[in-house]
Amino acid sequence: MRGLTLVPPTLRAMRLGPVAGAAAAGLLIAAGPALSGARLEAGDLGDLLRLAALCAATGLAFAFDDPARPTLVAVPVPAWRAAAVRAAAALVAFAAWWAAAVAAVYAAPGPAGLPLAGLSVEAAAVAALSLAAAAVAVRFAARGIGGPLAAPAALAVALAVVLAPLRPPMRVPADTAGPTWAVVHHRWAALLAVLVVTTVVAVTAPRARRRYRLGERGRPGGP
Amino acid sequence: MADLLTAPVNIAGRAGGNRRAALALARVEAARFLRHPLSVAALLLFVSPWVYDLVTGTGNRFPVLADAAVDLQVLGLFALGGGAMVTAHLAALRAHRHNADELFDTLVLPPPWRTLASLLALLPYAGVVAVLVAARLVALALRPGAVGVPDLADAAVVPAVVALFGAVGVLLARLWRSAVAAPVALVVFAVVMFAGLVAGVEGPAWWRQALPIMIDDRGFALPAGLVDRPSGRHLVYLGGILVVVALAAIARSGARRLVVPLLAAVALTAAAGAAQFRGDPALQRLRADVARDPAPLSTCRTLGDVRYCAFDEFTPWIASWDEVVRGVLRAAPAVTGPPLVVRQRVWADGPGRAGFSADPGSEVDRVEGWRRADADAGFPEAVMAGTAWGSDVDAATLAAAVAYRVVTGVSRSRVDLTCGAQGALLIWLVGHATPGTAAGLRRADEDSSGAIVFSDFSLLTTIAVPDRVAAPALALLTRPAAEAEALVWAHWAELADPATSVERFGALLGVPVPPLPPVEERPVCAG
Repeated sequence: MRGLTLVPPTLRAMRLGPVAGAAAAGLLIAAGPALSGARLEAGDLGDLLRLAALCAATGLAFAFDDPARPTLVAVPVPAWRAAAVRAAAALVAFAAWWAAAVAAVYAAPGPAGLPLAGLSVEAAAVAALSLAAAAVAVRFAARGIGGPLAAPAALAVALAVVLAPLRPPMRVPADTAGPTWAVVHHRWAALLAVLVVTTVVAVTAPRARRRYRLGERGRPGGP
Repeated sequence: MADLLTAPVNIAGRAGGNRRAALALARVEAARFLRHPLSVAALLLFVSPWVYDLVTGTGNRFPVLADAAVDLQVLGLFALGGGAMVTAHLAALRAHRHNADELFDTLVLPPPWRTLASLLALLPYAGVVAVLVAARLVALALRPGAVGVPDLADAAVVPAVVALFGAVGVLLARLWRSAVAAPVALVVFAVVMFAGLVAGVEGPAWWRQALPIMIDDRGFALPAGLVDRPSGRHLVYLGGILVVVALAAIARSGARRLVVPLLAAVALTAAAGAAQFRGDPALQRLRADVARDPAPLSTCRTLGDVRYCAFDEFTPWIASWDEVVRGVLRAAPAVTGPPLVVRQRVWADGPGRAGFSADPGSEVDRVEGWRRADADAGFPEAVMAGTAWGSDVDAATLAAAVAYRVVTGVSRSRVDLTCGAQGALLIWLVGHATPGTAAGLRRADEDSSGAIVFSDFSLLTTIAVPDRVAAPALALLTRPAAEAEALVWAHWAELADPATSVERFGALLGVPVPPLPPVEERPVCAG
């Protein structure tokens, strides 16, 4: 069980601040109707849950950030193992958060018969989008910090996906029933698969061997 | 050694030294801002719909420029404003993120001046956005079907929002020193906008004007003389918020003696914000009058034997309306009723998108009132055209209104379904008129649930034909056009008779009619 010995130190090295901050803000969003007593239609509740998921997913963009990364080049354990531990921890945390957010929405007064299966696929895709952005960004970041660029990039991609001129569009009201809902969510599932593959490739693909010459340093600036 | 220690103090103490240093810093930061990947990505996202329209040829050839300026604001707010907020936040936190805060403490330029430089660095980007918005509006204005002029205050909202959100990013960097702060703040802001939209539908109206952009809650264009959008006052309100946020950011980084300017800015913001709600009773009366009788703001023109009356600035649309009207008239051997007039109207004092409770009684009263006004103005049974134009669905909607008038001899005034051979004939005329109306009919058929519906939001009148009645007409449209037209002409008088059933339509033209559904699923038809 050599792999498991990696778990505690990796978890300790994760930056919890962004993940926890984004999750807390997301939970507040989902709990908005319950706290304010506002009665929302099912379609509006679905949109609120989507925005909450987007908010919480923003924190996942920081999951792969590791300021110590430049010093880990010499470690004999493959880098993808630590990344896998981080991704698994992030996804478990996000899944628990999602359950809490759904419970918070259902605590609101009024109708709450939401198509949870489809909404969960959307939430998973948004989480995978953040993780994929994080994996790609950290790969190209000089100092092991990709989150500051990955989080807004994931938001921009999410905005582009929602605005994409598709028929039916990717964002359909949560009270949509029947074939339209199914078509849209097959698409979301496909997007989820693409994003998972992107993340795995970005984490595992071998890096081009860098020759360190005398005097070369990491880029001092960064975003 | 003594010189080395005192030299920086001398530079800082020199009159204008801080100002020059802040300007130099602002220049460097502005250049970094402009070429930051997020700024570039936001600009690309902002222009992507234009590129898409250009590539696919789906752009609206008949833009209403005042509405186009408003429509730019939503994507401008989220893409450009959001990008500016994150970029400004990251730039203001750069020292913190690189663990260089302590080093920065040794710099001679005090933190408030550095914050001022971060704020000034936003202006060139806002300038680029302003140029982009202006270029877009000019490009739209050059289209032959462009209507009216954009409100400059509405066009200026996008760069103002970019500067405002950038300033919020700078302020946020003084409050929550984490790179996740700006993206989270952006999503939370989206929730606020969403709550404003939901509340705006049935809740208090002040939400709409308090948000950074005034969302268009009407959904259709109005003649300039009837618009009651407080765009100028809203821009002043935005500018006030911008000053408040900027002063708060400077004060937060340690500046003193800002209480008076801050209070003045808050007062200005509150005054401009409150001024947005000043109503204009005379304008309200004018809107009600023009909704009933559009003559005071209209211009009429005769093309061939059809007379068109449009609101003054909408006259560039007449030629395009005429193509659709000609298409319907070509396919019909006779026009029942008085000479054909197409008259543009708009339900200016109606509920718009905000909510529409269909009360059949008041609907009949409203549309009957319009018909009487048309008759009094000398245009009996005029076909109503709205202020939505440009899409295939709009063309199909006008074609349906003309076809209804051609077949029945009256302008549409009933709110119930059009059934029988008349309904089928109407569908065939719409599908046969022009390629555009045929595409619009296909689109309406795809969206049909029980009946094909042609509706115009600016009029809130509807022509609806049940699917079972439309089916034989859609089947006829798959036949060669000349053959179908000859058949229709041969039987025109019988087909246009309200007593003729849809089964008879199918028998005369040799197309199948679906069987009748069970009694409880049958649509309730007129007559």
